Amino acid sequence: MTTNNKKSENLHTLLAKIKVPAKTENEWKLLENELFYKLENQKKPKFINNIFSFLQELLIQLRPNVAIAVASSFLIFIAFIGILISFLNKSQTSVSVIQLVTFTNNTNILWNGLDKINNLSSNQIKFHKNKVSGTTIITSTGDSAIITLNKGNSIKIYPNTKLIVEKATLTRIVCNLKEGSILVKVNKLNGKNKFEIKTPITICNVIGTVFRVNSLNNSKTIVSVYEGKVKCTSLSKKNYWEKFVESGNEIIVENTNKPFISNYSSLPPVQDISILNLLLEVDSLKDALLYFNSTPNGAKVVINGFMEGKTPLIIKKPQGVYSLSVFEEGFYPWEKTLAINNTRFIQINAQLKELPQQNKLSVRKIYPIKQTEEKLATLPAYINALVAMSSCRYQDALLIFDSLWSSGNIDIKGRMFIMDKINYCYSQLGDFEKAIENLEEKYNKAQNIQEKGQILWEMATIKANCLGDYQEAEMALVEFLIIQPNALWAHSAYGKLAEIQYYLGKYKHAAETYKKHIKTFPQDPDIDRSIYNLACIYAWDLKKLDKAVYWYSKLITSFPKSKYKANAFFRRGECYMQLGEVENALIDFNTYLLLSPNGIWKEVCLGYLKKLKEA
Amino acid sequence: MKHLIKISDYNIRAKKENANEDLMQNKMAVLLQLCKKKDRKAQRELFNHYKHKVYELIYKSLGPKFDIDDVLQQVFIELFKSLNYFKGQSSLDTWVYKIGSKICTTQLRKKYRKRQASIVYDSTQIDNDKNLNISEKNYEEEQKELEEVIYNALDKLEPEKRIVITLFEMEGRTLEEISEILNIPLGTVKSRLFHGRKILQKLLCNYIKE
Repeated sequence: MTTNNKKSENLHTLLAKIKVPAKTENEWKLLENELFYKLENQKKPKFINNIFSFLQELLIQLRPNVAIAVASSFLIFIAFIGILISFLNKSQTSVSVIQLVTFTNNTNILWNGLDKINNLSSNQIKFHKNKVSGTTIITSTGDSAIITLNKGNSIKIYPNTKLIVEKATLTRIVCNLKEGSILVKVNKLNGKNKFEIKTPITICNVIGTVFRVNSLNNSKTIVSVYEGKVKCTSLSKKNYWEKFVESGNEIIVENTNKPFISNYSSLPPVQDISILNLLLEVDSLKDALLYFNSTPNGAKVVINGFMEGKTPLIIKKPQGVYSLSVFEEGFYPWEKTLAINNTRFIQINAQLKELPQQNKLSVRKIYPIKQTEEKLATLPAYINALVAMSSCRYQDALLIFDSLWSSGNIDIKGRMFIMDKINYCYSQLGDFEKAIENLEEKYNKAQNIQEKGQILWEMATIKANCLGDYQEAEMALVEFLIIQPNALWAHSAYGKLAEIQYYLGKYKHAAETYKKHIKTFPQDPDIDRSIYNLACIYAWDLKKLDKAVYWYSKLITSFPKSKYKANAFFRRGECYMQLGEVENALIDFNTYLLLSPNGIWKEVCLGYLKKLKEA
Repeated sequence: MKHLIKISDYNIRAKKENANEDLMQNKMAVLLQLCKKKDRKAQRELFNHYKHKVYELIYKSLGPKFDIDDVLQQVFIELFKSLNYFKGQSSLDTWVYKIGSKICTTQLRKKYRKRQASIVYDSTQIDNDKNLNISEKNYEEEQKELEEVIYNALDKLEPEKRIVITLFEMEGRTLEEISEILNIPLGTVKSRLFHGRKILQKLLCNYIKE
């Protein structure tokens, strides 16, 4: 009965009978302290532990049968992913690391040492899921090849080279350079990936660079690094050494001696590297690459009426039909029309025939030309150009003007005179307004600063040379110099900008640009011209004779081999004459007559001397 | 007029109470902000504010066999961690209950799983054995034994039903609050409560008047 008495009314009252044992304040304090001690000393769990604990928690949350189902399905899922990854890996390894090999006609490619691929019509091999390792590429004289690898890496193979691709997996590429030279561009590698070039005496480990390896006679290897860093190690482990070669240095390894690192001198100049870089970017290009070579070297290349540069030259061009011409003074021009379809690399060898000597002389006799105020007509090249213009051979005329442009006899006023003529020639040659429109479109789409700079430079040259729109050209050049103050053409851009500003009558601006040019590019080969022109501007237009004398003297003392030296003496003499320093003037005029006894200012100089002596 | 004055007095008092509530709310909001920045002082204050509530919840839902202190610490550690996810859509009380009941459920599940592996005794037999001795023992022992019986019965419930019963019958939460705390629909709460009650009534039939 007692039990019945204690029976509760209902479940609620029964459950409410549960009493929670009370805690004393001390117990609470202890608990609190313990809790906060735990909080303070909580270690951050590792990521994997975190995941496991999370999964455990998740499983606990679920009901047992569901948890088992989830766990088993999870395991099956993981197994499936593992199988998938291994399958993908297999399929990836079967994708070739070498994507494309572009080569010229006489290059031999031995694939796996068995097949000989030769004289293909397209000059290209695409590798699809082939085993690439063991591919041998041999180039003979005058031929070259480019191997495009994955991840934007590429190798350029120079003439007379034998290269064997020993291993080409996704993580490791090993090439054996038996002889000759190659240029390698490798993007920055991860820790796992390796890229090695072996030569008979050394191994180059790449860390992400542009560098050139030259292997000579199995006994000497030269590694020149343009960008980044290369680690060179010995082949044998007996006398092991390893050296890091940084950009701007080259290492010479010989059999007998220990290697030594030096600054390179025999490498191509900076501009050449830009061409090589362009060449190495072949995989990212949709355009074809035209490689111009000529005998003699240094001839001018004109494509569709545009002067592109001097041989040897590499230019990228999209598909289409082009009229090519290669000029050199004293040679018959070489001309050809070329259709570019799918080929990516075309080599053009222009062999120029020499003009008979009489041709040049007879021209001068037949066409006597009026004297110009700057006495340009006394120069035979100028006459040749005018003759070419009168017979509508504008391209020839342009080439002659170009050579005149770089000769020592033309000062800044003469240059203005020639610039007008050049404008006329170009306006006869093509529709440049359309070209400008195209370039403007390109400029708006361009994303790189480099690309933008290049387009600005092109726009400026066309505006100045072809359209005569000097104000626009000036703006474009200023923008170009702001965007890329250290670009490859920046030094010539300064020269051009100053000339344009002079033409526009902004003499102070022109003087300042020349000064900037002199300050920023003191080793530019054309710097003497800038100094000469700056001095001329001070003497004629700004009427600051002291400064003019200073700059003339600087030119004479610091550039003793300059083309402008003689003229500088003559001009300084003029300045001294105006300043009243007769003795200095006399000395300068006499030295001018000594330096160039048949110079264009000879008569004027003799006249001055007479005057001075009378005075 | 007297009436009016009284009413106005009452209003003032109510206003004061409201103001006190506002103050409390403001204080809690400030505390919350500080806790989110892991300010230890604020965390201690929060701990002192909720420790009794959480302790009761844990004790009632787990019973004396668990290490209540350890679970309490777990709850507060989890609470401090999860405060960043608290966006004030529900009250902080609900949030604390949410975390507390979640951790209690996981603890129960762990035990539930272990118990499943062991042999399950026939509860009625045990209960009956104990019933014989109740009269001979004093009140405290009785209370202890009653608790044991109740928790033995509760142990036979599934953790989901058990937590609903704990919250409703022991903590006195409303059905809506429970559905918010456990993040389950109201219908589910009702059905779990119903089935849980049914089982408990069967198990504890000796202690409940019919």
